Amino acid sequence: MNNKIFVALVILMTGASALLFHAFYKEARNTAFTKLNDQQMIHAKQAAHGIEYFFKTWTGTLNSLSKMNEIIDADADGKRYMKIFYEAHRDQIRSITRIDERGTIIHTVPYSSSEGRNISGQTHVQEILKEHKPVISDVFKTVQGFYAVALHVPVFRSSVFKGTIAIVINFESLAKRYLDVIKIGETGHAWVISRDGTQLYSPVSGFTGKSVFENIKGSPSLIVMVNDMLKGLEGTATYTFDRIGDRNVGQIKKYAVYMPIHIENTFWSIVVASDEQDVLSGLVSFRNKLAFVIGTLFICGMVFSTLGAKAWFIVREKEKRKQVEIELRNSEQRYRNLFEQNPAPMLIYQRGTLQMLAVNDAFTHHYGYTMQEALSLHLTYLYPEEEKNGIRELAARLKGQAYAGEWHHLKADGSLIDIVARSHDIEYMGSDARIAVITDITDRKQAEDALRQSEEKFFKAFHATPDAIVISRASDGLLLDVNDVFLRETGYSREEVKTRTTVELDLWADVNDRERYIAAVRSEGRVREMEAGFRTKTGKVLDGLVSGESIVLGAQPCLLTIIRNITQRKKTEAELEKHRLHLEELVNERTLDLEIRTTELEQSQNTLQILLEDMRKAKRELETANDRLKELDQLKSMFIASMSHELRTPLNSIIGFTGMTLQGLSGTLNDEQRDNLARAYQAAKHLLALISDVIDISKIEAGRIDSFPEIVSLESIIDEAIATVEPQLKEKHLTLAVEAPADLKLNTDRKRLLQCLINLLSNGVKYTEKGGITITAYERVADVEISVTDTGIGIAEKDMPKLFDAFERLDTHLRVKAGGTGLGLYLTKKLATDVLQGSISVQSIEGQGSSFTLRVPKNLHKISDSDKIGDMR
Amino acid sequence: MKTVLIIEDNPDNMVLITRLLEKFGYRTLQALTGMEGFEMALQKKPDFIILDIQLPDIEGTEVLRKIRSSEIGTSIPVIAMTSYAMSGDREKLLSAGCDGYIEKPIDPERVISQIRRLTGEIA
Repeated sequence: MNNKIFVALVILMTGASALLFHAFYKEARNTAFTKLNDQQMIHAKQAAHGIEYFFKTWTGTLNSLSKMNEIIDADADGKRYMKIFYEAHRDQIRSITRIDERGTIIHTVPYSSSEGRNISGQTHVQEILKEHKPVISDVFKTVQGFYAVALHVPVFRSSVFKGTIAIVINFESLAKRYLDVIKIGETGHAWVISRDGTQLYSPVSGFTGKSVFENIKGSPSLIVMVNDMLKGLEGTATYTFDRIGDRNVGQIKKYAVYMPIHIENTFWSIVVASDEQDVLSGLVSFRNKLAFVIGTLFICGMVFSTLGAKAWFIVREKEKRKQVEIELRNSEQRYRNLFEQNPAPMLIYQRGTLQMLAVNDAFTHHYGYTMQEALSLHLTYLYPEEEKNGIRELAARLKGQAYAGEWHHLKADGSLIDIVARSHDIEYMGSDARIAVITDITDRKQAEDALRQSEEKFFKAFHATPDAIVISRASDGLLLDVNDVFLRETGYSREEVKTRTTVELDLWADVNDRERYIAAVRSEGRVREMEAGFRTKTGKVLDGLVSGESIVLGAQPCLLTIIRNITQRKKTEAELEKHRLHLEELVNERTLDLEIRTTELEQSQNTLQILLEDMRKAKRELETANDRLKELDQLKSMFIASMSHELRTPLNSIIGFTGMTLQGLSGTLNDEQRDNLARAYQAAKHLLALISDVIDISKIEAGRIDSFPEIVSLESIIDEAIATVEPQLKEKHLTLAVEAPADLKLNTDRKRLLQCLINLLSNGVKYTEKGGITITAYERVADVEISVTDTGIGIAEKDMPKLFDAFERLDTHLRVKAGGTGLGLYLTKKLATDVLQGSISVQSIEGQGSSFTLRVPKNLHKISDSDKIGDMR
Repeated sequence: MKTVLIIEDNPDNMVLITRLLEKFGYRTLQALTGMEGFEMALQKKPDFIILDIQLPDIEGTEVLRKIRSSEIGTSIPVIAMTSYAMSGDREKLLSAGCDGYIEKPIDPERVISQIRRLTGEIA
C-alpha cells in the first residue's frame, strides 16, 4: 500500500467533503431566505389589501350617508341618524362629524361641545375643502390619548359642495386587526409608516406617532429602505442596526419586504421583517445533520477505498499465482497424460531401491496387475529368475544415459513375454528415479519363430518327399534348387543341375508340355497332376505327373514343380486294361441273357399295373358313393329338423289352447272334460318333447348345431334343473341332496348343459321309486364332473353297451309307467360329447341304483357351424 | 287398460295369445307381418309389444331394430316370443334391444305373470 497515495486521497476527500458541505449549506440558506421573503411578502400583501379594503368600506358607507337629504341639511333627523350610526359602530369609530363647506363643525357625535369650531386648519380638511374628494388624515393622537385617523367624505347638494361627513377611526383597532397578527418565527413582525414618514405602527413601544427617521437613526441601511418606501416602492431589503431607541441591542440583521398601501388621497407603506438569526437558528440542526452525513460519508469512503485497494492488491496477487499454478498444472497434466494414457506400458522405479513408484494404465492392463499391486512391486520381480541378477546389475550401472534392451518379463498370471525396455533418468516426486517404456515383442518373436519353423518344415518336406521337386526361375527355367529324389530319378548330380536351365538339360520329353505347363501356371496360378514325359540323363523317358505352383523367391517369380514318377503305374495300368477287355466280353454274353428275362418280367409287371388301376377306380367309386351317402344322411337330418319344426307349430297351438281351457280361462269344466283335456295336454307335451329331441339329434347329426359359450354359475344351472323335476320328486316322495362347489363359474353352453342335467335328473326320478337322488359336482383342473346318482332300479350288465343308443329303452316292468321319448340318453351323450366337448359315463348295479357322470370342460371353445361342415367334407 | 301390440304370423298363436291377454284385461292390437307390426307400433304407440321372431316378411330381430331406431326408441317395452328357443337366442335377442323373452309353447299359467314381470307391472 502506497502511503503517499493514501495521504493524497485523504486530503482530496476532505477537500471534496468541505466543498460539498459548503455548497449544500449555502444552497439551503439561500432557499431559507427566499422562502422567508416569500412568506413575509404574503403577510405584507394580506395586511395592505386588508387595510385598503377597510378604508374602501368606510368610504362607501359614508358616501351613502352623504347622499341623504337629512345629512346634507344636517337637520334634526340628520343628527338623529348620525347618532344611530355612531351607536352602531362605536367599537370601531370614535366619532362622526358633519362639517360645512367652510370647515366649521355643524354637528358631531358624541362630542357635541366642539360644534361650531372651525377645523379648516387641519391639513387633510384643507385638502377636501379644496379638492372635494375623500381624504384620510394622518394618524394623530386624540385628546383622549389614543391614536386615530379621520376619514372625510364630501357632501354635495345638487353638485354644490356642502362640506363633509367624517368619522374618526380608532387606529389601534385597525392595527390589531391587520398588523398585530403578523408574526413570523421569533422576531418577524410588521411596521407601518405614512407617506410623510410618521411611524403609524410599530411593535416597539414609543415609536408610534414619531418620525420614522427619528426612530431609525444610526442605521444607514434602514434609512435607504425607508427612502424607497416613502417613494411608494415595493421590494426586499436587508438592514442592520445595533440599537432600538437608546437601548443597545448588539448587531442585528433583518431581512425585510416592503410595499405601499394605497388609501384614498394618500398611501402608507408596510414593512414585514425578520431577524437573520431567526432563519439561521432553523438551519442549525440541518447544518449539523449535513455535517454529520458528510462526515460519515467521508469516513465510509475512506474505509471502503482502503479495503477496496487492499482487496484489489490481493486479487491481483492471487490471479498471478493462479496463472502460474495453472501453467504448472497444465504442464504437469500434459506429462501425466503422456504417462498415464500412453498406450505402451510405462513404469517409474526408484533408483537404488528399485521400488516401483508409478506405472501407467497400459502397464496394469498389459501385465494384469491392479494399480495397487503394481505399485508394491520391486523392479526385479518382473524378471524371470535367470535375468534378475542381470537387471539388478544393469540398474545399478545405468545413470545419466538412455538405455534400450531386450528382456523377458513375467506377467501377473506367470506367463513370460518378450520385451524391449527403453529407459532414462527422471526426477519423480522429488526422488531420483528412472522411467521405462516397455514394448511387448512377444508376437513378433513368435512370428519369427513360426517363420523359421515353417522354413524348416518346408526344407524337410522338400527333401523327404518321395516325389521329385524342382524350384526354377519362371522367366528362363534356371534351376534354383532340386531335391535328392530329383537327382536320383534323373541321374544328374547336384553340381550338374546347378546354374543350368530345364531347357539346357532337355528335361521335358516334349517341349510343348513345358509351354503348356507354364501357360497353365501363369493363368491359374497352379497346375495339378498334368501328365508329361521327362528325359533322364541317360535319355530314357519317364512318365510323370506334374503339379506346380508359382511362388515368389527373393522378389522374382519362380515355379515350384513336383514330379511324381508314374512310369511303373502306367505299365501296370496297361496290363489291367488287357484283362478288363476280356472281362467285358464275358459280361456282354451274360447281359444278353438277362435282357430276355427282364422283358418277361416287365410284361407281368404291366399286367399287375392294370389290376392296380382297376382297384383304384373301384375305390374312387366307393368314395363317391360314400360321399353321396353322407350327403343323403345329412339331407335326411336336415329334413327331419325342418319337418320337426313344422310339426311343432301346430303342437304349440294344441298345448296353448288346451292349457288355457284347462286353466278354466274359457269357462268351468266338469271332471270328465278336465280329465280328457288333461290327457290331450300331456300327450301333446310328450310329442313336443319327442320332436324337440329329434330336432336336436338331427341337428347334431347334420352338424348344424352351434355351441354358445357364456359365463354361468354351475349352482344356478343345477338349481334350474332341479326346479323342473321338483313336482315329480314331491309326487314320489324322493329325497334330493346336492353337493356342489359354490360360486363355480363355467364358460359353457348354458342351455345344453341344463338340457343334459334335466335329462339325467328326470331319468333318475323316472326309474326310482324309493330313496332319492344325489347330485354331486367336483371341480377338476380343466373340467367339472357332475354326477347324478339315484337309488333306482339300476341297469343290467348286458344292457350297458346299448344304453346310450337311440330308441333303446331297457325292457323293464317300469317301461310303460316311466314313459319318455327313448332319445334322452342318446341325445344327452350327443350333447355332452359333440356340443359341450365333454363326456358321459355310467356306473350301475342292478337293483341298487345308477350313477351318471357328466364331465364338461370349464372353458368351452366355440365351434361354429361352418367348421363342422368343413370337417365332414 | 294397457294396450298390447301382438306381432305374430301364425293365426292360432295369435288367437291364443290375444285371448289370454284379453282374459287378463289387456286391449290388443294385431299385426300378421313384421312391416305391418312396425307401422302399427308407430301409429298406435301401444304400451308394450309382443313380437314373434319367425315372421314371413322380415325377421323379428329386424322389426325390433327398426322400432329401436325409430322415434319410439326404447320407450315401448318389446317382449320377444320364439317357438324354438335355441342356445344363444336369448343373448342375441336381448342384445338386439329386447326387454324380455318368452318361449313357446306358451304356458297359459305362467305367461301372464311372465309378461307382467317383464313390463314391470309386478316385481
